[in-house]
Amino acid sequence: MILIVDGLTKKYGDVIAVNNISFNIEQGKIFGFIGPNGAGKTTTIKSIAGLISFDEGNITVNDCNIIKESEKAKSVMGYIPDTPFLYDKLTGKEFLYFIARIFKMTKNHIEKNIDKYASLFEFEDYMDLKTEDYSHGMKQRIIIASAFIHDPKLILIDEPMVGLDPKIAKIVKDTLRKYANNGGSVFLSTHTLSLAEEICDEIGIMNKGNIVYKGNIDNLKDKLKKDNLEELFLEITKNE
Amino acid sequence: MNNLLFFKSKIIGRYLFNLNFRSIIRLITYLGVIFLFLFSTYFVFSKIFEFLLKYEEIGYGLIYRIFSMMFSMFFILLVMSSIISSISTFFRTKELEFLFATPLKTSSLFFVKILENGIYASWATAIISFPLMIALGHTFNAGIMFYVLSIIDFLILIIISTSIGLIIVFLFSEYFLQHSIGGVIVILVLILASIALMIFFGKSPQLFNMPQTANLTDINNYVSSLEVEQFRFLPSGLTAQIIFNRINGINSVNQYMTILIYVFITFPLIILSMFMYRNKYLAFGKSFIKKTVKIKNKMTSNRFFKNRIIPLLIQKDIILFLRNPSQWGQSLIFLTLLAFYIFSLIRSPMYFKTPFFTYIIAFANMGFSAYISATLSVRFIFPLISLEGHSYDIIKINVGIRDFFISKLIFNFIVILLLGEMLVTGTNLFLNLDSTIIFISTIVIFILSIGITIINIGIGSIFPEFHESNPSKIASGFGGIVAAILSLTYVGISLGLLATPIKVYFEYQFNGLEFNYIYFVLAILIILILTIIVSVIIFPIALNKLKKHQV
Repeated sequence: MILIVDGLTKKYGDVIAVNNISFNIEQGKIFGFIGPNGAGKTTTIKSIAGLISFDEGNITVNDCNIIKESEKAKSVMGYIPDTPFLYDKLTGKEFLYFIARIFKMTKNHIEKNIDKYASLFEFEDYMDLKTEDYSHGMKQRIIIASAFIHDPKLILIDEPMVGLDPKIAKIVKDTLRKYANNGGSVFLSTHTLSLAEEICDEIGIMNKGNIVYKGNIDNLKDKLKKDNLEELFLEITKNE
Repeated sequence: MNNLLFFKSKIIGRYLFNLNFRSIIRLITYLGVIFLFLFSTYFVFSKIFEFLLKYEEIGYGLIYRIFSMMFSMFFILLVMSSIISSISTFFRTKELEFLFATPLKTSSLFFVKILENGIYASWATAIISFPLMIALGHTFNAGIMFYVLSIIDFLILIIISTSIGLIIVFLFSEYFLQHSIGGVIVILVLILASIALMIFFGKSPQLFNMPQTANLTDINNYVSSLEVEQFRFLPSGLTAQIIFNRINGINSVNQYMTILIYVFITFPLIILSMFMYRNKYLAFGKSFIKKTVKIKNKMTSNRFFKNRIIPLLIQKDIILFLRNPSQWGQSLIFLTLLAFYIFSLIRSPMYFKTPFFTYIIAFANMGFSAYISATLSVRFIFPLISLEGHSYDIIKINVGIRDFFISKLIFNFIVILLLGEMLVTGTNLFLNLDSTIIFISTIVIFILSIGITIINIGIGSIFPEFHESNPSKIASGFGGIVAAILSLTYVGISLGLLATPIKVYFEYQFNGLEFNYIYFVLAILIILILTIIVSVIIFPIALNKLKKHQV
């Protein structure tokens, strides 16, 4: 297992944001994490990324505890937050270089991967412009590329398609699928049910801090006798 | 860590040396202003020190007292700045969240951020302190090593002071996280202001306060009190002693040892407090804003104004200002400093009772109030148009541009007028100035408040930066510099117009002659015409630009 979340609980004062949730992600799988606003998705993803502390439970990434061996755990992860952060005075290429050097990549490897993702996500012409001149979609492309640049084993993505045009969104989906087929794993938090339906091997539906369903989409469809994920989602979350 | 420092310096370099027209103008202006400031600070202190040194009995002591008090003030400023800047360096930043998601070592991140915080918190104080030390060295004909070593001493003071600020923030982070950032700023400013007030007004009342009719015993007591170190065991007192000892060729081993103790205490404490925080909360970004509080709707319709647009826009601006702690937190610091200024005037009235000083102070006070109004306007009023951000499109579609512009003018004019009048009238009353001067000052500040507001809202409309959400960055951009130059030039010309009538008025009063008030009327009339000209030029350009801007 590349990711093991066991009994994760996170409270903000009296409010329980995440309530004793557990799930695993196998190597080569895409796990979709879906749920309404305020369900606890971002808290979960930030806990996995080692950005916030939690009250109970354990998170293990590639056999490393995220609290005790955080640097080791983070070295195999790529994180794409819901709102991209870029240094606005660096160019896209410099930003990618910066990330790659944090991950201690060699110059040749960096150049090779930058060329690869610049071509894949079609930002070659923008690479040498400062990121302050980018549109939201262009920033998102750079952020996605920065998560892939060091060839991680696990990618955490919070709302990946925000601001992307349909063509690039398709490329991102294909890239994630190909990445998983080559052994990488993805934890994908999203509102876009069609995206989860399209590329996820497994989903977890979260509502009010609890995982209310976890498993294969087709099994869920059979169980509730519904045809599409949107209906399933509404059915599951309405009674919670 | 090297990577991080390298890219950080690259980013700073890009801010400073971005080769386009606006950036070059900005850089030249910055350098010009900084050079002017450095030189004038050096010049003023040199003249003061040289003047004082002529008085053998008290000159040296007075210089020492001024110098050590300046260092005490620097120490308080550095600690306060460190606390305030740590909020944006460590807590209200998305950068740390981003960096903590990478496998960078926590210690490297902390080191870079401590360094960054130290630079942000200390550059302004350094700009004042370096010319002060150079003036001191020049007065006493010190050698080159004096300057080098004094600057190193000051850097150590910066390190200790900014570290103390950070230790306070991290040791009390538990409290910080349970309260809004605004509440935290208020508490910090109040605590520090109270400490500063206690120190300044409780401990050293003798300074500059010798009675004009003092006898020999009073004078002897006064002279012997001058060379007593101010707060000798604080880092600031120790640094002042070391620098002065160097002038006199005295060895400062004891003081250096005490400074070293400070360094050895603060460094482990800062590391410890940060790691305690890190262990508990992991990352930093947005830590302050965990707490969500339900707020009663403040945008309800007002029965006096019904659904009028301008009062509605003003209401929105007031609510947004009050809910943005970084805005009113900084206002609070400015107000605290102004309170110091007013208290200083009240506490040291002895020399100001002579007619000469009365008029000098009256004019200087009016100039200072106008200058403060202009500076605060550039920092707080100029960015207001830009701070509309993406909501400007909604305003543009739904509200008339003229109403929008006028709403900004009215509200900000009232604020700047109240501040200026309180400052100038309040201090004039405390100084017991005559009613003519009080009346003239009140009228002039009223007119200048109109001009300053129009310049800042106008230039803010002509050069908006809708994509920038940090008001400090907006104010330090190209438009901010244009607004600052125009505001200060406008204030300078206006005060220049008043200088002669006030001088003549003083001479007539001094000689018991009857003064012709037409001098004042003419000066005020010209200032009014200048204000009208400024408004007539800026207003249509600003409206026109506002119509054309797209976010």
